[in-house]
Amino acid sequence: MDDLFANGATPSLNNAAGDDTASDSELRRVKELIQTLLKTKRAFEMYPSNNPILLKFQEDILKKFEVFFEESDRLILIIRQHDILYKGQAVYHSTDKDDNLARMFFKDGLRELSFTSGFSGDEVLDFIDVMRVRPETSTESFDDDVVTRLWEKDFLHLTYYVIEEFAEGTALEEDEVSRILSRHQTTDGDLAEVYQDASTEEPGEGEDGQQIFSPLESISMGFKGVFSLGEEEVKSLKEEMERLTDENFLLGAINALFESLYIDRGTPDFGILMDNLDSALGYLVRNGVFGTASLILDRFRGLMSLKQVFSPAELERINASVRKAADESAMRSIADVLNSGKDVPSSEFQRFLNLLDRSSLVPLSNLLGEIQDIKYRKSLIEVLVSLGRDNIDALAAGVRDKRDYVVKNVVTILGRIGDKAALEHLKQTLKHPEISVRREVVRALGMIGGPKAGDTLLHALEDQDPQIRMSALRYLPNAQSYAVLDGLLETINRPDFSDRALAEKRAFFEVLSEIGQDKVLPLMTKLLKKSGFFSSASKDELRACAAYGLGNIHKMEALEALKKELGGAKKGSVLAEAISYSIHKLSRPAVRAGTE
Amino acid sequence: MSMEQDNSKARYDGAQSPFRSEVSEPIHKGARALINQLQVLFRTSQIHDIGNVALVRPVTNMMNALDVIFRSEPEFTVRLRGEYLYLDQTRIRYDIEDMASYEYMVEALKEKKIGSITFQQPVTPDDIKRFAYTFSAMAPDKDDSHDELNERLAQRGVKSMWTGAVEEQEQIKFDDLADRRKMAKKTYFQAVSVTRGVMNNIKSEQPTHLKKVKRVIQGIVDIILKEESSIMGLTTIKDFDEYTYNHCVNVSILAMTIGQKLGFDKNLLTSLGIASLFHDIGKVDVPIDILNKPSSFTEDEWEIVKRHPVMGVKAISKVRGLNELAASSMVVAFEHHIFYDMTGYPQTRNKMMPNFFSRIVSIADQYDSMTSARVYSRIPYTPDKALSLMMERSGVQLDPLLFKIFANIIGVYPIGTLVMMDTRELGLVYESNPNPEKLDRPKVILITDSVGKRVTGRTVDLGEKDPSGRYKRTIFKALDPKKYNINLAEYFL
Repeated sequence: MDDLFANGATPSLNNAAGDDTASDSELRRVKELIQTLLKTKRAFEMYPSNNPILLKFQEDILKKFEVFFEESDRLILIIRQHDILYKGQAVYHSTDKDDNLARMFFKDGLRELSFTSGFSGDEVLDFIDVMRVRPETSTESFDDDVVTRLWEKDFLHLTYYVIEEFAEGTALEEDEVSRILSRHQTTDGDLAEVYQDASTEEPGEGEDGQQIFSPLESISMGFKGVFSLGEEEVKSLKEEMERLTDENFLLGAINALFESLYIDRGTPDFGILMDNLDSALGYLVRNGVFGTASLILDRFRGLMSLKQVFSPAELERINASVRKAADESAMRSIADVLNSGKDVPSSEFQRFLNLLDRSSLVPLSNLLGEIQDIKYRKSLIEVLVSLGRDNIDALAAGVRDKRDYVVKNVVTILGRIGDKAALEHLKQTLKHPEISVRREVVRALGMIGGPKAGDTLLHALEDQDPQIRMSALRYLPNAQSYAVLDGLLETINRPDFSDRALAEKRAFFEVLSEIGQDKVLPLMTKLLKKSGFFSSASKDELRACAAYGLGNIHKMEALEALKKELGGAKKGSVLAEAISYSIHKLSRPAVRAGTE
Repeated sequence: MSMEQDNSKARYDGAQSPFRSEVSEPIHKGARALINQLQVLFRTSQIHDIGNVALVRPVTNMMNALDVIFRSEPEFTVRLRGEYLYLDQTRIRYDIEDMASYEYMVEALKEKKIGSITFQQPVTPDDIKRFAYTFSAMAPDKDDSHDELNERLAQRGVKSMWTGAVEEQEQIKFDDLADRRKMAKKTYFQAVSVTRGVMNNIKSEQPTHLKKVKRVIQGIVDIILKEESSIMGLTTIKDFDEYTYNHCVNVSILAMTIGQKLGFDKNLLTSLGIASLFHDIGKVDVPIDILNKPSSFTEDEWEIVKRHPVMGVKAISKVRGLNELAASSMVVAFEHHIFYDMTGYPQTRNKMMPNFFSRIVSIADQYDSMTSARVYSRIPYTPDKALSLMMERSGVQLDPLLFKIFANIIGVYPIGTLVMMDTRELGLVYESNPNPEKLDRPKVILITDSVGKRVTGRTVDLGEKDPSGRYKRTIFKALDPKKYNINLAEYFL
């Protein structure tokens, strides 16, 4: 067992022996600090990194350090298997196997931590990151330990001491060294020979006149400057170094995998390499590196076009990888990373989604419910609009989801696809308790259009919410169907229709005229002439609505009827305003052209 | 067994070890900036007077650099030792960009015979200016110049900076060298052991953790950042039983040394160290009877050997799939035989310049392979012959700029070279001179005195001059230690 490296000052083991005794209050401060450290560590393990509560923990622990350093310059903690000691006294004790700070440090060889005054907020954060337990499945958990992380962090006010344990290496060293040394001992005779040769021969000449050993020729001829770097050369090297990023290494590794795949086509290793690419893709997706993940999918698609190069089985294997990129497990990873608070560019996410296979519709629809950020859901909606065309029923199953926003998003997608196969699902959704969902359904129905969508929109005219009804009215003309006229008339004829707001009534008439044109002209004209169809209290309003309606009928008769009534309408009244408005509307050159 | 008892012993031993990096990255950066600014100030003070506006920026920059270091060291000393500058006990790192400033400072201190400059908080801008002008006004090559300089500084009211004498080179004790070797040796063999473990695990398809690999590479990084010669010395002992593992470790050390010269930070050095350690990992899948074949390969066998880069890609993915750490290793494993001119193997569909790491490893790999005795090539090239061959390949197979850096590291007389000096003493080169102008002036372990009598425990620096300004020793002849049965292991292990 040997010590190998540490970053710290001389270890302060004397303190462990207790030559400097801590006062009760000092001990209490250190104990409190360690307990706060523990709580902070747990909080960082429990909450996602963007949770604001973590900031409070961080501030608390920094405060504890500051309080300690008001009285002392250095906090030296000695690590034992079950204890942490300060000035020879235990400030932490635990025999727990899992949740044990002392053991966690100890098992990786850490034996002393020494904090000095000035330990900053950034360093606190780094130290918490060092302590934080990684999920067992993560690569960090597999490759790193506490000592490695401490080494990488480069603390300014924290030094540490480590024991290295490489029993095998030590044994090897002793064996190898003694073997090599025993192989041949340089004798005085050997030295005499070399001395003799070197003293007698000409420099650089062997016994046979051959060169035996000389400095590198070009250097010895005038080496000065030969190996110096010029300004441009330094610049070029610097630029190369700037490109040594994780991202570029990943790209390089992916390239190596694809090149190997090409080289190994037709061999059993093809499958192994494909497995590796699958896992690479999985890794990238788990980490939200969708730009690079897209590159893999793109190259998969490129390979699939090389039908002469790869066997059918190999092409199918590549295809399977594309499908795998959107299976349930991949979707879980995507949801996790997008919900983690990590900044994932939505353009890269969108690009990745666009490269997925059509078969990924169902898992992607399910993903809609898992992603919290609307920014990413929008990207998903875009791709579902494209993928969902062939499988409306599968997509529309989402309208039965319990989460309102999922239903709403699915309805949006159905609307944008515009396939009438979705109408039945949308009709069901018109009864959804959430207004925003019903409003989206009305919009979707409007986007789908056609008589059947019109029929469904008529149901929305019964909605208890006036905004939904108005919205349905606005979309009804998209139905391009006389069949909706009866429905509209039926509503207008109801005794309670007059109770509705003027704006809604006006909309009813306008829509009725827009769709009905010739067919409703007599009705509108008659109503404008106060036929007594309604009770006298709302006569003016009714007539005004009819006037608005006539404004949508592009016929000379409509204009004439309006002009005829203008004189009789009281100036400034609702009716006069409506008539003027419609006359003006029908008199505009473009409209006039249509009325003739 | 009580681990505690064992550990505490190891700890006390460790306390005496000189091989612990006491200084963190921000301070290293501060120290580099300090050297750069001192150089600017010294140069400026020779051209402009003390009130000149040209001094404002370097003085401000220097105050900033001092501020960084003062945050953890209220008093520190920049020291000249041989060809290197130290911040207290730690060698100041520099990268290719700072090389000129660094060399200027080394030469300036040598010229004025000033061995150290101590800074004590608080330093004012006026102190800095007065110091620079007083230093520049000093006559060169004067003995006890530090006392005179200190006196003048005191007269000008500068109390925060003072200087010290140049350390005599003989003061670099052989014991220190032995201590460094001990640590380097330990780390080297740990690396070999860990490499063997990982390669065996991969061969037998066992799960492989990289924790140990990372820690052992970090250990090498720590040593290289302090002084690389002790561990580089170990790469010259090409006498180990298991070529494969030692070769991996040697390539890793040589590659990291290039990285250090380029100014890589320690995390990048670790990545390079791991990637280079695994460069030949694909060979675990090449049948051992082919690898150990004593004669030349048949065409079929050569085809199998040439598959090791692709096998390497697969082997690395088996370790862990793909993550950032595995990615650089995978790239290097795949590309280390693809040359600078994009020839070599494997043949790829898309021709691309190999990654910077791969080009570094390619140089380290060629050098170590050529200078090692392998089953199919019993007689290795001497280091200079290998370098000559590599120079021919520079710009074709090898990156010419990286080769320059490498040649600088290896020097005219590579570590392990047996030399006779004009004093007729015999010695072995153990550390090359970092100054490209003085590549022919390495440090040497003496093995005989001037009459050919064996000596032990003495080292000399060929960069050292006598009071008349002449070099004390100059290499008169270089010889091949193998030819004379000189066992390098006795001196380097």
